[in-house]
Amino acid sequence: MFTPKAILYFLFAGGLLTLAVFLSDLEIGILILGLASLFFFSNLLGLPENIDLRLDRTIIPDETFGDEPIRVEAHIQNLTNAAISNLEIHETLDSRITVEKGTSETTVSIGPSEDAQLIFEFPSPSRGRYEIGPLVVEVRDPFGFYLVEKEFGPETLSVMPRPQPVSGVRLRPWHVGPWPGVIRSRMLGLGSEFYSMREYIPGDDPKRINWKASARHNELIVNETEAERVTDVMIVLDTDVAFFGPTDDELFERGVQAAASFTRWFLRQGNRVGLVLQGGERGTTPAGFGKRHERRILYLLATAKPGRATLSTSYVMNLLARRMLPSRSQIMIISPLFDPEISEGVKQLTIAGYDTFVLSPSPGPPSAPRDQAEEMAFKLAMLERSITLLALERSSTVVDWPTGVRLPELISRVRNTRRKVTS
Amino acid sequence: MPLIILSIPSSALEEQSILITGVVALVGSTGMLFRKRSAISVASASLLLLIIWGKVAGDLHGLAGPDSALLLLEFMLVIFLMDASSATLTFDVMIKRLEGKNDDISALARIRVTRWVRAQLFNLGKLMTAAFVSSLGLLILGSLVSVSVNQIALTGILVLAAVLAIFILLVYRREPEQRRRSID
Repeated sequence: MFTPKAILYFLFAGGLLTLAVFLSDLEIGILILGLASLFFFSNLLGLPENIDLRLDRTIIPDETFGDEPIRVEAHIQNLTNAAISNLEIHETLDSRITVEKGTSETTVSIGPSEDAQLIFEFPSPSRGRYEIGPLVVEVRDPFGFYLVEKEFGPETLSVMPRPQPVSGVRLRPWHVGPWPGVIRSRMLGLGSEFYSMREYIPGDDPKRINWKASARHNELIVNETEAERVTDVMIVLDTDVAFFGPTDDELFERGVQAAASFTRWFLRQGNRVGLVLQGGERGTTPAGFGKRHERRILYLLATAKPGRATLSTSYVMNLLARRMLPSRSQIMIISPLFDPEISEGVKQLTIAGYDTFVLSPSPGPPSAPRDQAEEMAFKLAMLERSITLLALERSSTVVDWPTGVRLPELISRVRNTRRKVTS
Repeated sequence: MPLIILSIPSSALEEQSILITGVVALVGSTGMLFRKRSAISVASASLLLLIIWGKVAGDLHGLAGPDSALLLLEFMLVIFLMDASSATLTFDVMIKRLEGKNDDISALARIRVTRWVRAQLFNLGKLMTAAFVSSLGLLILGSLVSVSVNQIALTGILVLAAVLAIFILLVYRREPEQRRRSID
């Protein structure tokens, strides 16, 4: 298309023509001839008739845990059989990205079948999903009379939360799957935990003979173990953390971090894991297993944003648990517990046979309360939260997670289910 | 630039040639110094208008104007300088963006932009020369041919033909197309 500059020149030429006719002065007309020749040669020699470009963009790495710099390499290949002398390339970037090496915007000239490169590097931004692009290429003739604009679609960079190693969480759901795992199943089978004893039957492994019991009963007795199986776990991350402005982000990020850590831990034990984001923006990943599924959940966590919930967590949990999980499976709730109704929801789940585990990131006190009223408000909110914690303790395992305590440290203290754990 | 203004009959500028030269030079220099594209455009546009005004004033007051070839040269030189300064400013902006970055990627980017500005200035010069030479050629050719019939109908037809020819020259090879094409 013709640029505004070209249109200005057209108008200028029109004005000159009017003047030339009005004043009957051919010399003014000569200036129009100059302008027209300029347009003609610009069109003929300045810009090829058809512009054919191809983009080959690489983001290295396009999935990251946020601890390495990101390099973007865009190669724009000129498939036209002529040189393009005035090419402006602009890669659209999220405002949170700050380019440290190179530039995301440049002007280049490229010969036929050559390629122009736009390379830049930036430190990994915080957790989230970022669009790199669209890449806009503006091709003009040297005088900028004619513009051909091409836009190449964006690509995604995912900065996922890095899972921390957590161990020691012992789940005891009633529902177990058919495959071996680490969840004690309350059934006889292969496992490491003692379950019962019985008389020796020929064919039994001699290693399983309990010699003390055999001596007492005067016959051979063998130990039986409890089968260890896998289970289905649904992690519910409560993203409605609106509580006290400055601490919201920290609270939320801890929740996301915990969800990522438990996802990895449960999946590595062979369990099927699903995720529910409950808050301003909702998202779900049905239960699944394997490394690819772990990535799916981490992608979802990468996009998680805090926000006010329009539906109560209690309602969503009960609805989705019944739809997404086999009955009597495991549900893990990660929530700061600012909604007292949640205890009722957990109670309903427990009645339905689900085993619930509540991890509650606790907000720290405001560093500099503005006045006494604010301090009092915080204390009251914390008191209400304590009441919710106590109510939950009756029906589930509750872990209160204070600020400044690392998750692996906290989880290593969790041994028995159905018990409130505090730091 | 002062030569261009001073070549305009001083009576066309109310005997204020020196003052006008000073003002235009000041605006242009300020634009280049402080990298203000708008100031450079204003200075260049006023130069173009002054050239035209010189010619028009000459016609209206019967003053002696510059030679046609010189007029064309001045006119095209101003356009060339305007675009050359625009390219230089773009180059400066690009280089400024890379200021303080001493890594390999930034060094490569600097080289690419430097190559671009060289190619851009060369192409501007090449196109301007071609346009000037062809216009001058047509001017000489036109001066050899004279129309003896002085009829309003013929004049009208000639004007129409000239407009058509100019239109073809302006839009040669450029068909209307969409502003932006998205390629996935």
